[in-house]
Amino acid sequence: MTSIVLQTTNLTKSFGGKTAVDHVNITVHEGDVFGFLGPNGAGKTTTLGMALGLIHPTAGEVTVLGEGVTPRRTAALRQVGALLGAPAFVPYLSAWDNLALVARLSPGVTEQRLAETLALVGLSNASYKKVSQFSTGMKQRMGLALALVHRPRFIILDEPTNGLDPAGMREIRQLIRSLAENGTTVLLSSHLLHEIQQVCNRIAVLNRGRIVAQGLVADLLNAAKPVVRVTVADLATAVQSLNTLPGVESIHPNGQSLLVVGLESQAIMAHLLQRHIIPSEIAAQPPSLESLFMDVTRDEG
Amino acid sequence: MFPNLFAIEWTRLTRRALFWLSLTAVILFTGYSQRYYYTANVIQLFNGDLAMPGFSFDLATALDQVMLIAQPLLIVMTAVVLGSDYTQRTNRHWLMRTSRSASLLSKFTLLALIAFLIHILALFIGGGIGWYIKSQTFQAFSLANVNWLAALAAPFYMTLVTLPYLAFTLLVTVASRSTVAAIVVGLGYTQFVETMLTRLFAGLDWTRWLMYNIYLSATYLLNSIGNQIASVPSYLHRSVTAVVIAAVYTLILLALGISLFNRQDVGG
Repeated sequence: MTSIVLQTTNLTKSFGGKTAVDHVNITVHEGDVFGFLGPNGAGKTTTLGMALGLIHPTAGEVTVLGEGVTPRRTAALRQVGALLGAPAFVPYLSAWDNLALVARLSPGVTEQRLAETLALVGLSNASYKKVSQFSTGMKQRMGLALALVHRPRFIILDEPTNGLDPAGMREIRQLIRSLAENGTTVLLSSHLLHEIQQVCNRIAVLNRGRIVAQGLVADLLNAAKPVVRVTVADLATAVQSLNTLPGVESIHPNGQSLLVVGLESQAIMAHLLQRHIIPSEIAAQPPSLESLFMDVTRDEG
Repeated sequence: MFPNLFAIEWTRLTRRALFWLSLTAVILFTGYSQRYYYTANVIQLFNGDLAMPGFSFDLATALDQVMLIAQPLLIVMTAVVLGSDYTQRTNRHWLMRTSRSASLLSKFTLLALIAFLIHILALFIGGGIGWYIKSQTFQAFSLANVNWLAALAAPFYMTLVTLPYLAFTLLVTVASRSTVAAIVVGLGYTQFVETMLTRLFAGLDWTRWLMYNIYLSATYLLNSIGNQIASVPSYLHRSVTAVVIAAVYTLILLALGISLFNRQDVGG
């Protein structure tokens, strides 16, 4: 049984009369690469802000590495690294100086470690360049370096590949994998479902402040409802017809095709043929995080 | 952890052009004011129509003059030090690893030290310019009648009466989360509201409690550098009382700032 690195219990945050995070319970185990998914405005950053002691919860509790965390109680966070939203740094200082500044609050970080960290994120050649002169991708790497410099046991990354080109995104994925292989627990918040599916073993999906799915990626995909891609000449008629078929849970237009959720391809084919609608193509889609995400976030828009 | 927080704030401030420009402004303003007195009165001083002022005059005048720019410069610096943590979102780095109160107090301690440095710098510049002009132009430099204890105490005293303004600006910055708003409110309050209130209600007893009049009391202590007993006007508090009131104002404003900061959400 692995130990729990992050646990939120009925975590709730209201701003004025609006509830942004509503009784959220998530559990991140040691060694996990935990994907935290949700549409924009779902409450991901607010949840992570509470986990990092930056935002006061309206109700509920956060435990990190076995210790309670609140804005007044942050001792456990010394073993945590975080990149929350856009990277935060002192723009008129160099990458090296920024790293040295943050490292002052973490005992035992040597100059060698500063150099290692910059190399890890690919900024060795820009060590003495002012961060204000960095490109968006370099700033993102700088944010990662600031989160990693003190060798945290647990790292929280909120949209870490923002602003990176495909090669940069691949490097960050590899970095996350290597961190996990070396025993660092990672919480990765992203709306890039493909990215999450590639690196995470466990996920939670947040929608409108509530957790709508949580578990091992493999289990969730196995339990996912079937998705069938149907290509027909007259999409409108096909949609009208499929809406009357019991078992169909949702229909999503996808270019010249429809993605039909809830039934296997044979049942859909039989129904369409009975109504003289001849599909030019019909194919079962492999279970993906995207279809799962669409499914669990669909009801509430 | 507090020394590390202080070192972080020291690095952040001293690597800004604002810090060095402020010190340069203090040097130029104090030096020019001091030099101006001697060049404007050079004939009268040579003829003996005007008594050659002593070294105590140089020290006291320098500190008196620097008050004009120290206060606005320190308000701007306070707003920048506090406000940049919001605009650059660097707060999160410190707050994940230390307490909010310690983070805010490290900044305030730094600013109080800078206030002291500015007054010490003015003392040296004023003294240096006075010594140079009197030695080179008039060959009449003398250390007679300098109350050294009062000269050393003056920068501390002046720093103390500056602290309520720093604490006030700190509170406004935390409340507004904005450097610009804090500068506007801080300077607006000190340069217009307080000055206007003092003039509109001159003579009324309650005006002596204004921070402006507490600050003004510092000028009367400066006379003691030349061993003169200055009679503090009845509309001001006595110097010792003024220091106590300044300390109380500072503590109240600082406590409000820390309390507000402790209740703030700083993520996102």
